Amino acid sequence: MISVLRPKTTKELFEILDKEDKNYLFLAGGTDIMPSIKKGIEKREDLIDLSFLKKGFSGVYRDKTNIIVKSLTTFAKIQKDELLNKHFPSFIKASKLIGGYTIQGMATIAGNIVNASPAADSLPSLLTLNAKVTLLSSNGERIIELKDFYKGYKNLEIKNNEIISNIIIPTSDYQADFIEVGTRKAMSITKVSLAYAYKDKNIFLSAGSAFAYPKRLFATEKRFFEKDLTKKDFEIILKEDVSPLDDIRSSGNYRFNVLRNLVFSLYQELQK
Amino acid sequence: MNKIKVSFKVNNKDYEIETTPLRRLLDILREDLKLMGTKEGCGEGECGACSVLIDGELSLACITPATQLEGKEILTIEGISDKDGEPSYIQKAFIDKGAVQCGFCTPGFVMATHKYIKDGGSNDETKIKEALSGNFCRCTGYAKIVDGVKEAIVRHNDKEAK
Ligand SMILES: Cc1cc2nc3c(=O)[nH]c(=O)nc-3n(C[C@H](O)[C@H](O)[C@H](O)COP(=O)(O)OP(=O)(O)OC[C@H]3O[C@@H](n4cnc5c(N)ncnc54)[C@H](O)[C@@H]3O)c2cc1C
Ligand code: FES
Ligand code: FES
Repeated sequence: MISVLRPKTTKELFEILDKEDKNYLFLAGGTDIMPSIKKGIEKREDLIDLSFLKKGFSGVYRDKTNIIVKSLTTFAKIQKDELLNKHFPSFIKASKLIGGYTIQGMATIAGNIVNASPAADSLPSLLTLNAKVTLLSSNGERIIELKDFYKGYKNLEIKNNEIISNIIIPTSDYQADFIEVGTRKAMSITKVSLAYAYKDKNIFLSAGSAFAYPKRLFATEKRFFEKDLTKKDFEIILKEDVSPLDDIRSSGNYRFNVLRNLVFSLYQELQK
Repeated sequence: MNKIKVSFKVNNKDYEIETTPLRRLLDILREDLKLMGTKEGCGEGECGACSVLIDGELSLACITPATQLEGKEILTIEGISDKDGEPSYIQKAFIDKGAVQCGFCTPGFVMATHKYIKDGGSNDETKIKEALSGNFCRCTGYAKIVDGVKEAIVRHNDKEAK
């Protein structure tokens, strides 16, 4: 039987989480949870409604070296935020691809991160911006790199007694953008994207919809500025970034080929 | 499912209901409050037929559960009619521009347009399309709906000028 707990304060939230070691579902915007429950994909029945905590966990601010996005900020708010628009236009561009305007008014950044879909639009961009997440529990905070948050398919670095409280994006003078191929409605099948951030001979790369879970392309990053690489070379290099767990083969080689083409075109452009 | 009590406003009227926490706002509107203007298309967040405003933010009633409604102010299509059921200037602009065929998607589009105009939206076509990107229409093709939105902006500005 489905049960929904409704903590009014963070103190109440952590009392619930500390009482029993359970893999609760946190109802944030509900845009993943509600359809998944309806379709029977989501079988967990213990929910915690975060809506009473939303005020405290919503908004964007900055410290000396970072822009900090509180976890329950919606993508509609993110798109309007001046700090984010100024420092991370590529991330704003990515967030506009999420669902449609209706979804963006409800969907939160923490929900997108924890949903961990390979097609989640904000993640490749956040990964190349070297974002970190703050995990909050009754024991305090721990901060980990987003790239280490994803350990494998549906395998996340978060404990049952923790919630995400902040997303920390370090400001930098890297040029960041992303390229996308395919239509937005066909979320899982034909869309492939490549996010990048570079400066001089350093580059961070991450692909959307190409792997089973969001990740950086470390092998490709390392060799990206070598001279005279060919499309074939990139095919070999990119394969190093594909682990046996990635379901890239399930859709044939299509998505892999698109990704290779995207990486190669970027290579050609940045060689100029 | 455990039952909960929630209090909220719909179109400026106070309600308190007892229901299960995951009951959809869409069902509360249509079954309990008999407000039939908000439509159910897909029921999964894809089509926008159930668009309403919750605390001023465009939201989908088919994926909004009762538990999240505490203290919220909800605005539905019935709430933006000009007076006593008279269609709002947005609805009239849509009709005049041929943006309504079967009409099923219209309440959703009107809510999205209301939100867009309320936020000071301009008649820039790209921005209009962004604002309508969560709403689908099987009948019209979007050109006429965009025309309807532009016409509504003109009428809104005329009203403001008066
Ligand atoms: C029609 C439709 C179209 C969509 N299109 C896109 C798209 O184009 N691109 C895209 O990326 N996504 C898309 N989505 C998916 C979804 O909208 C996003 O993933 C969204 O960001 C999820 O956020 P939420 O707040 O709604 O999450 P919820 O559904 O509330 O929660 C999702 C998950 O996050 C967990 N969670 C939530 N908050 C926290 C927290 N603070 N700490 C720890 N765990 C937490 C929950 O336990 C749950 O597992 C679409 C969804 C729909 C219905
Ligand atoms: S009925 Fe709600 S989005 Fe389709
Ligand atoms: S007028 Fe029929 S769906 Fe839009």
